[in-house]
Amino acid sequence: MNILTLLKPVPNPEHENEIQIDVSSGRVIREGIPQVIDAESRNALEAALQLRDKSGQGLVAVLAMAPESASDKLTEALAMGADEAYLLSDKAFGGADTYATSRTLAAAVRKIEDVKAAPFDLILAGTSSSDGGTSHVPVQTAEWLGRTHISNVCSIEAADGVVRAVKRSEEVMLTFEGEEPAVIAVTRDINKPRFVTAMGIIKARKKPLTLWSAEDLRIDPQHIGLEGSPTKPGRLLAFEQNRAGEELGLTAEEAAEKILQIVRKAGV
Amino acid sequence: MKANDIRKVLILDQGNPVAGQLLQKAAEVFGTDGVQYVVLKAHRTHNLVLTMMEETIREEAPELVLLGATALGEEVAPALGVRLGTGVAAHCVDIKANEEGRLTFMIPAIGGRAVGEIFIPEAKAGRPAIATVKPGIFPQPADAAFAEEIPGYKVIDVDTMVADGKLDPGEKVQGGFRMTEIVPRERSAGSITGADIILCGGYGLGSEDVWQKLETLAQRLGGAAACTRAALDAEWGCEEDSMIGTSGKAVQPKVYIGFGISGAAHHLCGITGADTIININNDKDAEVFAASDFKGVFDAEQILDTLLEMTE
Amino acid sequence: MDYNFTAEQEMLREAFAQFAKEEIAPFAAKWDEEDHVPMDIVPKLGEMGIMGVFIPEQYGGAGLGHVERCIALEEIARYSAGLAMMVFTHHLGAAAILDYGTEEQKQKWLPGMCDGSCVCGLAVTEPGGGSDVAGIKTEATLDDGVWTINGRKCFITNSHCAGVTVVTCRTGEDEKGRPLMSTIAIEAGTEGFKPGREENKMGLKGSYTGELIMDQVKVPEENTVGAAGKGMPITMKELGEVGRASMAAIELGILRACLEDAVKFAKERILYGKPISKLQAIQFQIAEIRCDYEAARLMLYNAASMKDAGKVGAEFSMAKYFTSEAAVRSAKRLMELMGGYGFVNEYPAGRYLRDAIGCIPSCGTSEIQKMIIAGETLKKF
Repeated sequence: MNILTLLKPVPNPEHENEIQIDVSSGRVIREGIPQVIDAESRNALEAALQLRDKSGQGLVAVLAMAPESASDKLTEALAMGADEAYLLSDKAFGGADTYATSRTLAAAVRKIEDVKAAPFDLILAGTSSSDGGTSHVPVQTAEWLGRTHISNVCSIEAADGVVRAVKRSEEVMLTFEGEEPAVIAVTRDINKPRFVTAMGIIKARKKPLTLWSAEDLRIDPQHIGLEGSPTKPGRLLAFEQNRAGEELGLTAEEAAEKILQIVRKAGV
Repeated sequence: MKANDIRKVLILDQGNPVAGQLLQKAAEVFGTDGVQYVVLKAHRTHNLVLTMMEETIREEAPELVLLGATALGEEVAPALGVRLGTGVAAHCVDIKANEEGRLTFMIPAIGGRAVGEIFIPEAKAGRPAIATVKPGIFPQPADAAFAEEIPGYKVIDVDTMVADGKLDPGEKVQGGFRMTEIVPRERSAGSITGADIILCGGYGLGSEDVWQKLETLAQRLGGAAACTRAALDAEWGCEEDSMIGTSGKAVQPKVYIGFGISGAAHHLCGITGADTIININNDKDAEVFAASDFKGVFDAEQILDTLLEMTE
Repeated sequence: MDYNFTAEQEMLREAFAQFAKEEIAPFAAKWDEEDHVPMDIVPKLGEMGIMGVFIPEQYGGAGLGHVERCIALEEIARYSAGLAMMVFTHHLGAAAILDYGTEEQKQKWLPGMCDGSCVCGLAVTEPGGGSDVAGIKTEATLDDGVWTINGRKCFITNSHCAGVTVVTCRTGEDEKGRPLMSTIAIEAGTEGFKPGREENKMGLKGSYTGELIMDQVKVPEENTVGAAGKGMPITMKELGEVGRASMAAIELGILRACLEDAVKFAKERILYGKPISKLQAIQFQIAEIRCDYEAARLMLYNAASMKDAGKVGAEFSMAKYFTSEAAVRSAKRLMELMGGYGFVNEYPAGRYLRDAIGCIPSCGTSEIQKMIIAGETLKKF
């Protein structure tokens, strides 16, 4: 099976509190926050590696749109076991919303598939990233490519061109069947991603990592970045909070007593 | 687009209460005078809902489309965005006209540390602005029949059309994924939606042991245990179903008690509907305190231990 | 001059750290409390590439250097210095086979040592003493291509779990009557070769330390690692470089544990309505621990990169000396900073102190290191 995984580098969520926001200027200071591969992207890559290995043939490619400094995250994906990596990096991609991002990713998918002269059997991605968390990009990439898609998938089987995926919704688990090529966005409970190993890192040295700019993709400049985005960001505001913040008490006992009072008063 | 350019709003009713919340909110913001509200009722799989939404938008030409940010809505909304060539604002915590009268979507931004304004300037009839909203972000209408009083209210009922044999889903959706099985989800007791009291744990709990204390206390108080995304990621045994925030649920308990929660907007926008918010955090400057009716600068575990002793 | 890890080393460190956090951290306290040796983790360490991190790819290793090996040990020791002792001793024995063994020996033993199916050991110390290598009494005699070995080793790490142990034996005398040593590999299960007493240690639990008894043990001459009679320089070189580097790395892991725990505790512990990290007295303690950690880190990785570049002098001795003393100091500071919490076993501060003290004698006490450092210094300056 040939599978492409969409990979999203994100600021390490463990360092979220270190991100500084200057609300007056709307400036966001992210300096020094380490990047990691988004958790659900990792699950998607793990699923791809398992499907490839189970089918006994084919390759796993990874694709990301990110600043060039994120190339070590793609190397990490190669160290996990992916076979080749593509990084879309260009100042012109900056400010893209999910519409322009997915359009750019789709253009890259077409370019890779042109070279290989065959579509990927599957494109996998994480459903929702820890930073943006819109769940849009996998679906929109699929739509640009005219492929069928499912998000929130917690189990995938694929054999003989048929994919069976279990989608989790709020109340039910839905099993779907469809034909390749398809785009599937997974959730974190689909698997436990493998560790990167020392041998994997050594092997990654010899695997191809391709860097593409907007020009390489031959994509209309009006279709990318902020300009290609139908949503435009406005001001950044502090989350408005105006509750009293009254002290519960000076000692733990006082505080606990007060909590129980509030609970009783609410009649629950 | 200006908010008062909106003449027609399309809302997806996917068989849960969020459609009523969206309708009431939209009617408040855009008024009912000369504004039409079309509700598409379709409690179906995403392929059919997507096709029906696309057709309806082309026929009805709304300027604004609202969907609940559920597993279904989150799949349909972005697909519609590409198909119609328009923008989608995800997980809005507010929809309003700003000072200039522009249609403004407020969404959690920057890892949930702030709220950002989003505009969809090119939106127009037939190429609508699309927005998703978590269930529970906007209040539930007190009277379900309120919609009937809106003069421009109309329902397109796909579910009935399918049931009456007037619409063949197989014909509507060719190719793509077919649903072969549907089973109710197994879930542990104490669902957080509808709970009157919620004890929520953040990353500051620090360990699985403390999380278990929180669960025990929640049980004793007859409430539900919830978590933040950071706590879920820590894998202490919290469940994704119990996560509050933009990527989880929005809740409206009578009492919410947070333990070790820093106060990311991603999380806070899921608790705005709580009557009383209490937070325990050992950092006296924790952002969460600004969103709390009561606060305690203590170690989460210390308060949990004390409460467990008192409720024994 | 660049004191940072390369991007690849950083990725490796993150990978090992992630592994340690998930597979070691949750169990480390239990291993210590129950004095349990977690043999089931060894194949996982093999899979991660830690067991054979410095062994060339052709023998199943990752083919990396000693900087990477020290990174692995630091990350393991961050949570369990005891387990790191097992891994370090394994590296020590495997290094002797890699550096001095025959091609046949390497092909026979190294792949298993890389994948974690075979733990390696190195046995030098005897009841008569440790650092006095020349006083070794275990004797091997060669007869018709077969060594017959008799003797007893003590305080041997991996004594009860090693599949192959490289044993230093007295095999003759030179023309001046000084003892000649040979290093001979003995496989577990060889008749007459068995572990004896297992020590009940104060710290570094999570690894075996005990006796090895050799009673008429017969192994083929092909098991000689390096040239017969050269056992002394072989042993001294591996202990001096791989051994001391490892001990410094393990102590560095303990130091980092002290540092991270001190910061975490100081931020979380509330006294008089504010975290104790706001108190200057606490800040001074943290500053001391931080300086010790940073200095130790630079000394160790500098020495390891010198070794990878081909030449290292007394730098490992300096790193080992400084780091072991700094680890003990920092663990003690952590205990003081934590007050009563430092003393209860619910928190790991006490374990760090026990482990740090336990590290001092391994591969030479501080006094031995100072002798080596002084020896080189008096020549050099």
